[in-house]
Amino acid sequence: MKNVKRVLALVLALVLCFGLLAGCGGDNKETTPAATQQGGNTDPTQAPHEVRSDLNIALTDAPVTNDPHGNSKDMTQQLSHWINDGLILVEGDGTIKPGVANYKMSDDGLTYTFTIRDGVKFHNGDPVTPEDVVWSIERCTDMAYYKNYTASFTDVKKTGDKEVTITLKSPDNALLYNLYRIKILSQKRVYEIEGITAVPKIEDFADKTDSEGKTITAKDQWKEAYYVKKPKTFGNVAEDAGCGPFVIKSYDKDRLIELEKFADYYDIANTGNIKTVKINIITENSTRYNALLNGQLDLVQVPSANWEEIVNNGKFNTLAQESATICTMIVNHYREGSPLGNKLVRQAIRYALNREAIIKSAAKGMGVVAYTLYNPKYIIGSSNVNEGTYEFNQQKAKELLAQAGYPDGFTLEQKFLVPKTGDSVAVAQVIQQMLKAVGIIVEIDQKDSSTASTESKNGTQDLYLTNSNYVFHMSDGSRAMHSRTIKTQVAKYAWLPNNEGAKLDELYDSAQAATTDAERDRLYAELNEWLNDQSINIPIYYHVKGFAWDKNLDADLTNPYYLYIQYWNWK
Amino acid sequence: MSKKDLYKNTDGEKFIETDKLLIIKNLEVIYKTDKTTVHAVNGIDLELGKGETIGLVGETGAGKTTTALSILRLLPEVTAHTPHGEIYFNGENLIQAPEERMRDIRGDKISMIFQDPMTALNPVYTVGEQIYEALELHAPEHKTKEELNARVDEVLKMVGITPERKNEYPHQFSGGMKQRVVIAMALACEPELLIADEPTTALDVTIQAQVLIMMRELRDRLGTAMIMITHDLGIVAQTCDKVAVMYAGEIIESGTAEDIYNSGKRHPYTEGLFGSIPDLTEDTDRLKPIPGLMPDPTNLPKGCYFSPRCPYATDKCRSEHPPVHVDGDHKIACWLFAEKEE
Amino acid sequence: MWRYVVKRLLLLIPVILGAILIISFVLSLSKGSPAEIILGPGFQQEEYDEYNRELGFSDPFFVRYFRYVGNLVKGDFGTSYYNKTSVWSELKARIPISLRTTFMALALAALVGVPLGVLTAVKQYSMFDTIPTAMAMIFAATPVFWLGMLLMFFFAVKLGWFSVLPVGKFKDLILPTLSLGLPHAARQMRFTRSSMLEAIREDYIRTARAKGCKERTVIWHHAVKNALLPVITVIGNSFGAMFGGTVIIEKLFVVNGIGSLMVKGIGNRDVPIVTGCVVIIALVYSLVTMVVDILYAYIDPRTKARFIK
Repeated sequence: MKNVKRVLALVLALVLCFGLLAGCGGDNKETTPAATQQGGNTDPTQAPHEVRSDLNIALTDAPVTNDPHGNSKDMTQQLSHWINDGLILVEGDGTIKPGVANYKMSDDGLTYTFTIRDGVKFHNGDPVTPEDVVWSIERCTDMAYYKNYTASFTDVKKTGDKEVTITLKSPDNALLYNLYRIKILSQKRVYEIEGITAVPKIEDFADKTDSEGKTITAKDQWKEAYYVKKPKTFGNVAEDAGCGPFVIKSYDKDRLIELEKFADYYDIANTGNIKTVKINIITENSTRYNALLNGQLDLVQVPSANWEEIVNNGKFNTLAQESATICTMIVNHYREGSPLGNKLVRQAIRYALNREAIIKSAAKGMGVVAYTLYNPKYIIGSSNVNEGTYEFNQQKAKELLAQAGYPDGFTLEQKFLVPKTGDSVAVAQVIQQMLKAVGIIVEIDQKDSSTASTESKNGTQDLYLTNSNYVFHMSDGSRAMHSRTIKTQVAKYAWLPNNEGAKLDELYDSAQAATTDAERDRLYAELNEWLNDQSINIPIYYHVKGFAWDKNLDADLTNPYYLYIQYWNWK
Repeated sequence: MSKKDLYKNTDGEKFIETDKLLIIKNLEVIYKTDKTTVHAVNGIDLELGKGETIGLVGETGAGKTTTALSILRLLPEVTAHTPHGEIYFNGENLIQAPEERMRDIRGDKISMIFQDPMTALNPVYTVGEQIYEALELHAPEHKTKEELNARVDEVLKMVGITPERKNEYPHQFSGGMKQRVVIAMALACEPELLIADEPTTALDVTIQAQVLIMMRELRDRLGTAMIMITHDLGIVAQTCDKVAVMYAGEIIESGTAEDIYNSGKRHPYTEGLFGSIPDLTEDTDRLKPIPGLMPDPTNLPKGCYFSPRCPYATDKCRSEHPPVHVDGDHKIACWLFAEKEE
Repeated sequence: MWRYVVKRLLLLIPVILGAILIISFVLSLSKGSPAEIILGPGFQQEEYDEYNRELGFSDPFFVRYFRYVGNLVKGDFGTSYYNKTSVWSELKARIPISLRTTFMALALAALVGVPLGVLTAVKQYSMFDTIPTAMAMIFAATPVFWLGMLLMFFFAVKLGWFSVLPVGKFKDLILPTLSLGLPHAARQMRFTRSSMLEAIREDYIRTARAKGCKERTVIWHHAVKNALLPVITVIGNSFGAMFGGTVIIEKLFVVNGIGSLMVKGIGNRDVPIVTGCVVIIALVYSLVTMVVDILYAYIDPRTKARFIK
């Protein structure tokens, strides 16, 4: 009797608990937006209504700094594009537009002349001067992330009231794309914000030796001060040293950043009707998604698990957009005695992978099969030259393995390193099964992403799954493959036997220096074919990003890299 | 039908006319759980006049404490039941009295002190506070705080503790002193009946003597009746007028102290008890315990409960429950004496 | 009593130093240097080394340790490797938030758990015992993040009673407090219950009843005060654990507390941030424990005697 009572009580308790929670699923109540400050209206049929001018969006991570030259992390870059402009603007589809300046290239491609446009102002009202341009570009030369973009410069100098000239060592058809990333800052404002009262001069410094006996020259010390290489205040506070479409109104970098449309923006006629922006920093995927459902965010990138649901929901505009972010597997070809050193083996691995299946099962369908590392849809210089290669063919895989001397497959000594981000682990597990099916046995080693990325450079793994983001131009890929960065890259093409890797350097360099588009495309196509043949960096799929946004918001999402909110409009 | 109703006791009256302080008639107490039923007290009769002291003697498990607790209705609610029996205190049937009435009686008219003084006091309140509580619960409304506090001092002095110590905590007192505090608390409201459940068992012998002397003095001074529960026949001899011997939930022998100690007639069990006291004069190698153990209260034997251990047991003893042989005040429940009558 | 307090405060010093030592050691074991993570891929090894050198990261372990301690004594927590802000400014903003979250969750746990614990102990075996106990078992086993997501989805999205993102009103605190507090309340309830059950079986309870005390007095005056002693200790200890350990709730409800700062710092190998967080957590934990111990002494005269010697 007592036992029955106890069981009944337990059941009653469970029912009480789950009765509370059972409301999920099943009933599709109208999602009433909670107390939103701006009173967003999600019903497009109700007219007339007040057109909104504010925008609520989220960043997935706090920006490291709002100094446009301070960091290259995605979210920092994203913010930078909203508040800063460079000499050049690149549209979502890769078209080059004048930004702060109009440009002219000399016939030999070695000289670029920039003429600052009329009415270009900084956020504090000062006009953009050639001195600012020169200072900003030279600043980049000395800042860690942006050095590469200015690597080919010999000289940058003011050549007129509104003119700046850049001279190059050799032609560089990536220059304009790279210039997009070099934002123009007001030297005066940066100094003011940083608390620098007098412009540093070389004479103020003298050579000195540091604690380890190394000499730091006066010139280096001057450079650090003059270019504010290590700002203490600038970058961490709301600042108005940029000239982009939005101004920072408030900057609480871990929680909320507020932007305001710059009334004197030189290109304001081309921008949309968004006047204020609230950027929430929300690291948790589900919270961003819930905030969209709740009406507190106007646009989010939807977690793949919720994609079908939001499409079926019907209350939001949705778009599944292919991006240039690619999931690849990098093969360790240089380990002594490794079967992966044999190109046939690497190609066999490619035939063993059923990329459609990987996308469907591990990436929940949010992917597009990739044949090239650089998405030809978006990346300038890339092409479909590898289209259709290495389609799934287990038979062919086994043949190649046999040809290479491994008719029964082999077991890899080292592991398959996988960072624990997104769908990576699931993808790796599917790949592991597919490899097993052709006789290649490998063990998976999951690590958190920082540890994985550090370890991957040491070559202690045999396979490495990674996601890379290439932007705008084929040259962007060189930073991870050119022999320049051999020690810190994973692929290490330069270590191919018989100096084969030199071909990669040669192709990259010559392609970037090509003076005509046709020449450039030809060389990059050759590079892509070469990379395809080597199969060290194996392309698997391009990520498809799912976006959902308020039905009244006309959001242009053609740019797969960044959100260009300045062009968005409320209806 | 709730469990309580299952064993609802409707014996006797609510009130009777008597001049006896305490009359227990046919008290039966069982502890019932899902698995077993323990027959703790199996029909006992007891009478106590005003100012009298009765010693309740027996081994551990005989049912002495249960009897005492049932007088005050302090038995565990869920498991204990009193299916039969009447307990009249000043003519009032305590078994049928409402709980509120019992609360009035407890600590005021009937007090109880327990065996282990070390744990009988609440460690987080001072001794004075705890005695004050006893007074406050039962004081007539007109009594002021000062009067009650004065009484606390008085009561402490009565047990030989300086009143200044009333702001100290129990852990600051020794075992013997703690027991004095307990006694002070019990006697603070000058109860008519004091039930002392082995009050000195946990104390060492010298302190034992002190406390017993003190209890006797107080009893004499205040005219309190006392039920002294003990397994120590020596204490019984020193303090008690009457004696009742309990075995397996029954009173197998009762009478005046004279009867029990000197009469020559004894229940075999009582004989065994006396025999087991070590003699200082004789040279003995081994003690003389009563062989065997008290019967399992969940499974009492047929006939006389003592028969398995009794050296004089007959078949009749083992099959039929013995009647009570009465000789004046001396009562013995044993076939040996009943047969003698025939 | 003051001597005891001073003694405990002095004991804080070796505790903090030890905590810094251990965490620095553990961080130094992890692969990856700050430069590789902050700069990202695509740089020369010399550049990484230079960056690490500038951060002071490549100095030998004990040099870094003593330098850190030396700065700490001056009140300087250092600067973040990751974004070059002052570690103290980051901590300063987050400490009150973590304190508030922890305090509210524990208040909920105590206000719900303790009385329920007393009730279920007093009414043992009855319906008032079995149902709350069953529910407590369920909640105690509920993972905090699952409860958080469920509450957010159900009450914020479906019903719209709360907003998903904090809007600066008191209402924001309710869901995170419930998510953190309910599982804890369940544990608190069970712990209080067992403590009460023990207390009720003590002899002095029997004495109190024998004195004629009302049952209510017996429970709340006599038993509860004794039962609460271990309960207070448990609540105090939980404070320390909750203060720095609520990362998931922080991320879910966009509450910027110490926990998420520390986790981010660990991912970025941002040694000053992580060490700073550890120092703060160790400090809070030690101070709370000290307060609890003193409180304990005030309530339990047996312990108090040991302090006033």
